[in-house]
Amino acid sequence: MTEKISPIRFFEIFKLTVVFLAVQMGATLVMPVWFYDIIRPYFLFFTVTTSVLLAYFVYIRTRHLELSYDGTGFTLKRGKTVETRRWKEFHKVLLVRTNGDFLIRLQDEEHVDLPVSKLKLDPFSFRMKTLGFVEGSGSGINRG
Amino acid sequence: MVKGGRWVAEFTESERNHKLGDLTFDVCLRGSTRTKGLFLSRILSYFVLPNYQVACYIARIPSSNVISSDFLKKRLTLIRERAKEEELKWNWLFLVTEDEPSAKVSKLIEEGRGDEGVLLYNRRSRSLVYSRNLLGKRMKACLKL
Repeated sequence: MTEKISPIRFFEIFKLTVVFLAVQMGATLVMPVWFYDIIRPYFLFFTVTTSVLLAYFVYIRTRHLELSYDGTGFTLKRGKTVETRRWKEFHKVLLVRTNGDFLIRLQDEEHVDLPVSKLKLDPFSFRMKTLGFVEGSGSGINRG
Repeated sequence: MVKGGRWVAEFTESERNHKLGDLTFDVCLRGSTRTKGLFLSRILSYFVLPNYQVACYIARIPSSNVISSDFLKKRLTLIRERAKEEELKWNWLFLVTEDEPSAKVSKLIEEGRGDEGVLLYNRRSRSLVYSRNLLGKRMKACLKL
């Protein structure tokens, strides 16, 4: 049975919103005065609304993560980028910490990182689950 | 890898059932002596701390009676070989048991020859026997067991 995890990271949307808000505030400095006079009564509403919408759009297009997995493999979508791999392609499972975030690193000659903290999964239990999948896939896990 | 504590090294990688030669360790931790952290911590660690790669091998053993000089020698030799291959400067061997080690075993660990830190932790009595070298003492001082 396939499990699917795709939490919305509101803090990411908030960060993008702040960036777009700052850009729009800055844009008023180069805006024609007559145009600014027209939009001034609605400026705050307009900037906040457009910033939130733009942030959500950019987040979904580039940063949203979706992980679906079952006993044979997983699919990781990062924005519009999709990566599908099988557990048996890997021989080593590492739990890695980078600046407060935990990743499950699946290693072969190359490695694939599953960003478990960003997916709001418990890194320790998901590591055991992943290890079970990799060992169970008959990849001849080499833990060395 | 989680929560704070006194600092021995920044462990960033953990692997379960780590195989080293013909032995399997329950956990292998890898990291370095440089902390990450925010801007000032990074600057401080860059200028003050050495950039050593470190490893800690953790293994459960059924009883402390299995520990002998050959037992330790075999493990430490493999750890040294790996350290040489991967330029790991600091290495620890951490053994976990359920029974009280005999005086002979305690002495063997305390007298541990070589640079590797060797520690034996009794889960039941929460006592720790450690090698009296720099790394053994350092880990003992930092652990909150």
